[in-house]
Amino acid sequence: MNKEEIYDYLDDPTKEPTDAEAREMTALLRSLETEVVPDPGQEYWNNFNAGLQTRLEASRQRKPWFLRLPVWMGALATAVLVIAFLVPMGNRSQQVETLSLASLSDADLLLISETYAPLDDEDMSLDLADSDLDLLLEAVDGDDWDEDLFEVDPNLLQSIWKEG
Amino acid sequence: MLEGVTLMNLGQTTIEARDASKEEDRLLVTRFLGGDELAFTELVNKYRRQVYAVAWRFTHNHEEADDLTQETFVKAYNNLKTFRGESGFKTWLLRITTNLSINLKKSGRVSKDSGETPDEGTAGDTSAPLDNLIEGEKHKQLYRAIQRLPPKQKETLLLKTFKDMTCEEVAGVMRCSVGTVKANVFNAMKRLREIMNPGAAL
Repeated sequence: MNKEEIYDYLDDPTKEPTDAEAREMTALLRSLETEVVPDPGQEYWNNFNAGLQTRLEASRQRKPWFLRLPVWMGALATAVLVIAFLVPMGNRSQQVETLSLASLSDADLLLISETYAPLDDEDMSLDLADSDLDLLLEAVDGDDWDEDLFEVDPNLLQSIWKEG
Repeated sequence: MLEGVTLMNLGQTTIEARDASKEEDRLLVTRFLGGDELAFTELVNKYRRQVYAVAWRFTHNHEEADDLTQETFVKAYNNLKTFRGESGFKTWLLRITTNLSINLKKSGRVSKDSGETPDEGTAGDTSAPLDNLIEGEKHKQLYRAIQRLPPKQKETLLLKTFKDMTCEEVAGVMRCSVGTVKANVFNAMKRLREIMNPGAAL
């Protein structure tokens, strides 16, 4: 069967197919086209607009669909929304942390390692001026300060520090 | 030759009438969106019979056709502000009817008697000629056969064979290409022939 003939007929019903089978098809199509829809009657049409008006008013008073849902569904939807909002935020902060560490240059890393490295004895001694040392030695009365320093009254040490 | 010229003139007249009708619809929609409720009443009066006819063709049942017709206009009223005028108002309206009828079928609310009950309007008329009764019975058989078609084929066929709907208008309602409309109608007709004449060679 020539499909194109049917397609042409659909575009223009005056183009009758030449093929017998196609003509049988178009006859069936015409039969469908001529199907008469029963008229519901003038009374029906007279009342149609009034009925429609009532239905329109009912639809205006109808609550929106989301307000007609049961309370538990509303609560569930809210919970889902809150979770959906919080989960990406957590992921994002983790990502930012990872990114900030990854983006540090060698120079930054060196600075951080120097800043947080434990101080050795030499550095600590630099913090004390010679006068401070003398005062400390006086405080322990010339005893072996290495041992007695830990026995010094903390208040005394504090006052020495303030004077310095 | 003369017949061809007459048909061409008729075709031209139809196109002009269709364009005028579209323009009238556009103006009515604009008036309604501007707050004129009477414009909507005019649209209802203009299309209610066509909408009912399409609904009836889908259901073959007055109560369901009435329900679909009213619901179509309720939806149109509530959603007219979203109508962008890309398709004609008639196409847009019939798309609502088609979608509602599909949903009605899916929801299973369709009367089991649809298409099976004798139509009071014709069966009750004892003066109807025998030919009309035979024709009526043939249509019922056809309708039963159409119910066995795949949904898209069925809807396309029912729309295409409704009054003077063009392939473009059906494509607009079905949201598909003109080629798909033609293919669906062709396949539907092939299947219909198989159903109605099981022995027919295709």
